Amino acid sequence: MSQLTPEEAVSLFLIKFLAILWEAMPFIVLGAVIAGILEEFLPQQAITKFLPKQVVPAVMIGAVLGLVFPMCECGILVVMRRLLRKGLPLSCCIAYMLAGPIINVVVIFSTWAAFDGHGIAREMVGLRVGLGFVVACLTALIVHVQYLKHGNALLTEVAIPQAESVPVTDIADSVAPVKKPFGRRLANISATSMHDFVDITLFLTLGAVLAATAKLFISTSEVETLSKDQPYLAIPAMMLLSFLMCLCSEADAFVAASFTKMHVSAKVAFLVLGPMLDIKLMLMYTRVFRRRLILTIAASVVTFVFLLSIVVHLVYQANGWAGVPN
Amino acid sequence: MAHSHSPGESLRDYFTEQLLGIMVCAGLGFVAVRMYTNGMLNFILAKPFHMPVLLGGLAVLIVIVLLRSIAVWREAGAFQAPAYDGPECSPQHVHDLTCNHGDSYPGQTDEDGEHTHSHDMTWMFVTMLILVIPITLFVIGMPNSSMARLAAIAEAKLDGRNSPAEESLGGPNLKEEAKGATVESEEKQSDGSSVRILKAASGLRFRETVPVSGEPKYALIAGTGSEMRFSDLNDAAFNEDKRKSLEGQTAIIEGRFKRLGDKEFTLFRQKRTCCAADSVTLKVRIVVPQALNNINPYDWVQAKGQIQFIKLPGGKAGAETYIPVIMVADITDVSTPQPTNEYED
Repeated sequence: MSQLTPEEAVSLFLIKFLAILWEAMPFIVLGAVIAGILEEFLPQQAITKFLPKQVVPAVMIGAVLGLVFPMCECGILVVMRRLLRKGLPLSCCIAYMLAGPIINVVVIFSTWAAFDGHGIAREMVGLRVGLGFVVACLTALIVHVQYLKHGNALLTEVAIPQAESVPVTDIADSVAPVKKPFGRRLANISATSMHDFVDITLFLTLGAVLAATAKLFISTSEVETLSKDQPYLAIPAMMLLSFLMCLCSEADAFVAASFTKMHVSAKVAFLVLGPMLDIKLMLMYTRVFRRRLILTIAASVVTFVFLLSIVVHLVYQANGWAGVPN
Repeated sequence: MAHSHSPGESLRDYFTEQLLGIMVCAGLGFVAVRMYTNGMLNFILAKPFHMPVLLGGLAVLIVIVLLRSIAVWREAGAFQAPAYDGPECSPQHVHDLTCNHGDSYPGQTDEDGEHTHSHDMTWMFVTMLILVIPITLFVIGMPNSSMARLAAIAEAKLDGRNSPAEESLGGPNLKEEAKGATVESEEKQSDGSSVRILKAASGLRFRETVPVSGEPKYALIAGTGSEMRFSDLNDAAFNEDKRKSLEGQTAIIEGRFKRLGDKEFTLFRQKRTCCAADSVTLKVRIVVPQALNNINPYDWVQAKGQIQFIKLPGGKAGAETYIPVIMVADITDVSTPQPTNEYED
């Protein structure tokens, strides 16, 4: 088929860019407002009282925290950064950040709805939640080991846990440092909210530009053709696609379902990697983590998603299950 | 950045940052609310996601813009009372305990004579410039319908690129279908010919006219139906029960036109779940009885006809691919109305 005209390419780019940006915007606002309230009202270290002392159970609780506090991947980063400042252990934060966008009621339901018509809803939801949980926990534990070695050098200044609560507007606090009237609290909440909103929206915008550009060069049908009959190519191809497309975790199941002839293993790889790692998230991560930690998270997530998807594929093969809707 | 605000950072930097932040947020909040009220969101987001944008916009305007404006106003007043003259901290003001900025207050230059903007300030200006992009796009009227149209065409082109050419299916062989068909009604015409209404096993309803001498003639019957969704037709193609229940029903569908032959074309439409970024190109094959000439590629077309699901050649046993096809009875059932919505939500 003919090539895109410049007008078509520009239109496609702008539509994709604006769509990604405005779809995520309300959730970033929500995250920023919650972040503002947490920063102002949540006492330092209070949250750690409810967590087990051992790392592994704490991480596992972090991974299912999304069931209680559902957030999508754009908003969760903003909230997570404040929880980190408030003393929630980094490993727990990572587990919450990675698994939260997958293990929450809204996303489980939308995944179910997307695959219901294809008759594979149960296995897709099960595999997505299961793999999401395992990948998030393993990555969190790796980060924990790295944190023991490097400490706060892994984090950006904004995210470093505070020894004592230092309000955002220290300049204003110097005016009335003694007690905090309600107006003062509102001012502080708005300060944190604006800071976080501006900070994260900037990187969301840049990520949306990159994702919209990538969209000009790839199409979902090409990936489908490319990986047909080659399951071991299909898994990395779908992982790459989810990285480039930057879909919201509520919507990605419907896109995955549109790959009708693709094996379940490749779809799961797409659905687990996407909410944990994509172009816009990579850019947004730079506001919380330093490069070493981002690389660790990326490498760990990619490796585990790939390996576990291969395992899923082998299990299907060994049992003679079709793995494609009929 | 407010967080890394150090005692050495100038007050003017703080207020500049706050005011620019408030302005950009006000712009973004206003654009969000306005795009909701004037329907521009239709071009980029599916319906369920319009309300979050409105609420997000309002939250920005109230929690961030309004509260921050009041707070900054009062902060400025606290430093500058009683004569508040904007964020500018006048160089003549008296330093006291409440005014803890460093040496680089406005009007003062450092030893090189350069203005002492911190590194953070450059970063802040870049941030603001980037955040102004979506506001600017809104001001110049984007997104709009022609953008959505071009994007949908581009998407379909990308989807079609490198994929194997679609083979022509051809119209139904009504003579064959007539063999096992049930007779719904039969009547003799005055000229001696007989007309039967038949319903084939495939669900197709058609008219058989048997003249006194010569071969019988067959024609599909134009039924009445309502508009169907591309996604419903495509989903049903996977399920034998759904295929059976839909086959023979009359459907109206609207989408963009792509020619396959003179009597066959594809209509495609973008289906989105949340936003234009997750849109998927869905197709429905249309087969018409006579040659169709006056429609250009990518025109918006409405077609009415009977639903069929046709097995594509090839495919392993047990994993056959069916595609939805609309069998049009008469060429007047194909029209080119004004497009309503580029996307099927």
